[in-house]
Amino acid sequence: MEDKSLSSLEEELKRFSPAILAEFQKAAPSARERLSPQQFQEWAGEGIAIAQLSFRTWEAALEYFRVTPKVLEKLSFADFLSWAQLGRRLSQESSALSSAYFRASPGTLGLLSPSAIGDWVRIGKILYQETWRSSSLCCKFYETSPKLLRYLSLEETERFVHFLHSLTEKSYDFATECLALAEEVFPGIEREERKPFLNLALVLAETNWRDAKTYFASAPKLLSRIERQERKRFLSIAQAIATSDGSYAPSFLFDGSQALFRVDEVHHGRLLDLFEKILLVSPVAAVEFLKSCPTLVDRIGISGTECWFEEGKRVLQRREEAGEAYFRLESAKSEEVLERLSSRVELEQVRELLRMYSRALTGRNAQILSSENLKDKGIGWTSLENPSTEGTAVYLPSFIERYDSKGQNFTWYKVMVTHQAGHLEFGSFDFSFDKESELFPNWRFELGGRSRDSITDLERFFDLFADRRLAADIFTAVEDSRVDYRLKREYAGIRGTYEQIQREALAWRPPLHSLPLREAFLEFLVQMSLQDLKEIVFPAEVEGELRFVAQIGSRVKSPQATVEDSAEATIRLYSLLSTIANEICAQGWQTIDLSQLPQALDELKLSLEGTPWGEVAKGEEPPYQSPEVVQFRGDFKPELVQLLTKLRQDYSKKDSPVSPLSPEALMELLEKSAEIEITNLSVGDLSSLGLFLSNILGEVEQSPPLQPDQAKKRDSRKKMKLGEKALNEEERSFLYDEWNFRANDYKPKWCRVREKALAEGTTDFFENTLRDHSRLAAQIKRQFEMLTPELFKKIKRLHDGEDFDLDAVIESMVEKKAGITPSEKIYWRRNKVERDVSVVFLLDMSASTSEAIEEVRRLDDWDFYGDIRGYMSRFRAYREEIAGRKSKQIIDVEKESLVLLIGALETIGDKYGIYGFSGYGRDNVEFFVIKDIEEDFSEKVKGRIDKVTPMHATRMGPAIRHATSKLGGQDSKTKILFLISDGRPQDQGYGRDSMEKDYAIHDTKMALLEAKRRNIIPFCLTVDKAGQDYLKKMCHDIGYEVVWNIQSLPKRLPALYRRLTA
Amino acid sequence: MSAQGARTIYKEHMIEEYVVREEPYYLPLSDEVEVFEAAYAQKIPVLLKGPTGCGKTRFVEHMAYRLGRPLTIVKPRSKQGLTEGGIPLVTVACHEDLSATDLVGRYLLEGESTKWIDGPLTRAVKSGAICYLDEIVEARKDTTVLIHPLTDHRRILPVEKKGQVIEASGNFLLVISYNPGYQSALKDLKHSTRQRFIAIEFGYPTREEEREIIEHESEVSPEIAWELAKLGEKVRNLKEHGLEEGVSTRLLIYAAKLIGEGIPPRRACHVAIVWALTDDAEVQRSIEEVVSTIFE
Repeated sequence: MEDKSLSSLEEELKRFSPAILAEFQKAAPSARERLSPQQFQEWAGEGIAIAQLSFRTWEAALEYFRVTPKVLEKLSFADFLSWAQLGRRLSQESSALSSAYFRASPGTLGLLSPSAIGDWVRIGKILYQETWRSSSLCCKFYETSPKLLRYLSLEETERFVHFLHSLTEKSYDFATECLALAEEVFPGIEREERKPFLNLALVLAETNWRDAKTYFASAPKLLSRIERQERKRFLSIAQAIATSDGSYAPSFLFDGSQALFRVDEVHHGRLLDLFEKILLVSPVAAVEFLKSCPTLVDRIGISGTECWFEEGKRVLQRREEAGEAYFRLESAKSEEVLERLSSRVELEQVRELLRMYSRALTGRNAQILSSENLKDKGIGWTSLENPSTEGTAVYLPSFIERYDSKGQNFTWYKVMVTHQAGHLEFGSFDFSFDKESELFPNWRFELGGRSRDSITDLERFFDLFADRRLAADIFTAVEDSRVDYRLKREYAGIRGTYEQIQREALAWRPPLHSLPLREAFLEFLVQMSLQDLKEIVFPAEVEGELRFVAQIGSRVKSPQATVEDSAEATIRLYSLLSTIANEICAQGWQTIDLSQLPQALDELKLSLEGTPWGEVAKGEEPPYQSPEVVQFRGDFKPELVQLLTKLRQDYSKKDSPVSPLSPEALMELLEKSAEIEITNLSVGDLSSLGLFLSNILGEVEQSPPLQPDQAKKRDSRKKMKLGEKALNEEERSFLYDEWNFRANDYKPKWCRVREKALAEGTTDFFENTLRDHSRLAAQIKRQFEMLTPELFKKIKRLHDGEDFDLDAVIESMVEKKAGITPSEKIYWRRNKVERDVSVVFLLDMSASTSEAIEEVRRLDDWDFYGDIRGYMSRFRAYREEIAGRKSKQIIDVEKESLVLLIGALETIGDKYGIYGFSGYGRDNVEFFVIKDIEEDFSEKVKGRIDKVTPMHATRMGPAIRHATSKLGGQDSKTKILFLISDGRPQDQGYGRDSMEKDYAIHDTKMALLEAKRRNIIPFCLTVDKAGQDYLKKMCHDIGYEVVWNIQSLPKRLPALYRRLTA
Repeated sequence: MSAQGARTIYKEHMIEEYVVREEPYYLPLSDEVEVFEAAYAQKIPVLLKGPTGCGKTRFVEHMAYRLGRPLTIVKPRSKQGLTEGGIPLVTVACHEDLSATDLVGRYLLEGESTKWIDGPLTRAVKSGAICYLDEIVEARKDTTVLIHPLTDHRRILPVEKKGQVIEASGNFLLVISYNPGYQSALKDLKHSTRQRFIAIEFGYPTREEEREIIEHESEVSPEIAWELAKLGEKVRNLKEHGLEEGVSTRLLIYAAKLIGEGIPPRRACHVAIVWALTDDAEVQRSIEEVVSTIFE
């Protein structure tokens, strides 16, 4: 019976597909093992029932049989049946679905309780929408379930499926991708974060589906950036944001987490607290705040950030726009508060102050630059941290945050500058080999040294020593000691701070007994330079030597000591130290009293004999290491400084780039100098040495030597030289704020103005204009000449004056006779009103000025509507016509007007400057000097006018500000800023589109107002016929005029000028 | 003045009667005293050049006293009072509205008639005083022309309105001062004027000399004076680098005097030097730092 039924079953199955039969037969043995015959029947019957359901369900049945052995292992038969029935019900919907269901079951069932299978199926079916795409997604779901359920509870899975489902409404592709990503994403998310994570995903899918996928994919990375405890909160905040207004959520998620990542984890909680405080007021501001956090925490710490935040909150409550700019760090106010809270001192902020300070101390015009600049020059300095000088500038680290208070940090700067200035003031670099020293007998002269072929005196000096490094180290220690001593003696006020910093430096020094003996001696020398040591622990066997070193070392601490004394001390110390083996000395350390040093120098018997002199004893010993740099003193490279100074002098004398010194000699010097750091340069590496040499020569050409009080001459010479050279040489740049009218605040240092001299062309344009307009030119000139006599005015009725005003006297007499109190104002005086005018012309050189004038007019005249062919033919004829006789552009008329005006201005002697501006982007506002305000009118100016050509965009604000600052430096009574443009301001992010139009106009308006506040009369002239609408807004109560007919500009401009200055 | 002349508590002099009675302290920096004496002997007008507060005025006072000294001895008290002891010193501080009339004199109404009043220059010419026109370039151009006939061999002062020419008294000498530093090019001295004078140029004293001056003028300790002199030197390094003009010896003396009165040195320098010199906050701060580097 059994066999028969079996065969009939097989027969039945065979009808569906031989494949089914095969699977059935494969599964049958294990089924039979586990099931009673009754159950076996039911099992097989279920399979047949599935296969019978519809045309394609045999595939599901096939899967059913295939997975049976595995499923049976996991389920009791009762559960098995309900499992199978669930499958059968699925098959009623779709065969593919139930196939996937069966296929995934062996993997899934181990993860689910039997009672939950139904839920699993139900969850999957959420995705099924009776379309093929939904069915394939749903299948995928079942297939990935074994993996999903390993990480997710059913409840979570259901949420995830809801997320997928809502994505499907937008894009099946996205949903499919997310599903595929799931197995990678979920392992990266902690159990307790999954719920908020999925909730957020759900919200995002509804509000912001495009970002939802990115969010989903990058979630593990995103969350890993945030402190573990705060992740849930982060997600729920994001959800809240997404629910209220989805557009900020991505920014919060991505930028916010990125920003938090850059902040120390322990602060995340507090930052999020703050964040939530303003979230309800302005989500934008909140997100901006989060983005600014790294900068804030970096600069002012977490507590500082809180203070800064409170201030910002107040701003935000008053005015949302302003608050947003504040939190974006784009308002002057935020910068100011930040500055106040920050204990860090930035070099940029104190640069000018320190420059003047060092100038006051040294009388030299040394620049203050950041150490990076020096390193970048590649001329031998490699440190970013250490202060130094190379003769023309003092280099300092770009910021200081050693201490908790701004004051202390500034003091650190000040001490560093004072030390460097000390080197300059007390002549460290003025060493002369042949100059007598004050305190020591001059051994240098006996030792000789090559006098002929040395480039610098210090080179000659260091040539005395076989080990230049040792000599240089000794010299540095001794010279620093001398300079510090002189500084403290000379400047009582800074003495206390200076000693404080010296003590701090001392605390950082390595202990002597950890060093080999020679290094210990050097270290002792350095420590001695930092403090007057009364006693020291040192090996007893070298007590005599130590006393000698101490004696020499303290001798240079004297007001008379010069750099030559340091050199002599170096010779003596070297002769001793070079004989000391550089070995660790383990025994015999004891306290040696140094308070009683003999005043007279008992000269150690030194043999100057021996070949070569001063060869360092070398045995089995650790290689000698230079002592660590004392931080506030930084790098001291006298030999290089002397070399640079010498080269600069030679260069400025000869005014030719070729050094009079042979490159070989230079190479030799550089190669042997101990001041070039070996790390940077392997010894004997000629190619990098060559590069180094060319860097040095380049440096020399760039900056001629600075003698005290010659700075001014240098400037003028430089200017002259540049005038001759081509463009691009003089690229000075200035930073200006920009007005953000929406926030009602400035964006600090927003625009960079690059000032350059315009190239020179021929003077033809100038001459031709004068010739072509000779009548007009003469007329204008006459008008201007007439201005002058008006300046003498006879003023009557004064209390005091040159002589009696007869009319007044008679009147007064009559009154007196009549018994009335007579007027006492009976004098007259000629009053000379001195004409004292400075004016700056600011010429718009934007691309739009290239428009041809006739073209504009004539094309406007033609009515081409309806007659396009006629128009085209006329246009072609016109084009040919203007091709023949170069058409005139707007800028040409502007230039012509200027030429005519220059003639007039020269007659009345007003000071004037002419500048052009253009540029692109806020980082690149070009400001061309056509004639500087201090510059005399010359052929060069004529040449530059020729080169005025249309360039790029029109960012008026910064150009006006720069012109204002130029005018501000003038001390004339009347100062005028004359802006000549052809249209509204526009640049990238500055009035390009209609949204920004107002921004540009407001900024320009503010720039004009700033000028007005500085007692400058701004005046705007435009040739744009549409100018009326925005000029009215832009100029408000500032003078402006729209010139309707551009041809009249040459006539109009001088007339306007006369009216303005009268 | 009044009947109770004895009760006057202030000293009032006619302008040409003002004589420097006590020797003003002046520390010669070079041979300027000898040069001036020689010029006076030969009646060559003198132009004093130099920055403000470097001692030009003091020098003129000193010379007026010095040159007048022998006269005091020779001529005892005379009735006229004009030459009573020493050479009178007429000082006119020039300003931009100072006209020729102001210097020469003018008619005033008095009752029914007019009365001529001599200006300071006329008085000096008549009385044989040293007339010192301080900051001459500030005055109107017509004044500089006015002094031309006085400063060459003619030594006359034309008084146009009265139709007179006054010959200068033997003792008369014109001294003008001028600071080339901060006047704009517009206010430069014309060559026709400039070349009528010998020029004595004043610079800032050396640190040692300045210490002596400060010490003498303010009676502070030599140490304080030395530090102030040092400060002066350092601050002068900032000339044309933030400062239009270096700190004057006068200001240093003021600071010294304040210190003498018990004001702490840093504070004294603050009010007398830092704030006095500039309004630019950054420059102020730089000088402040120099002060705090020098003074404890």
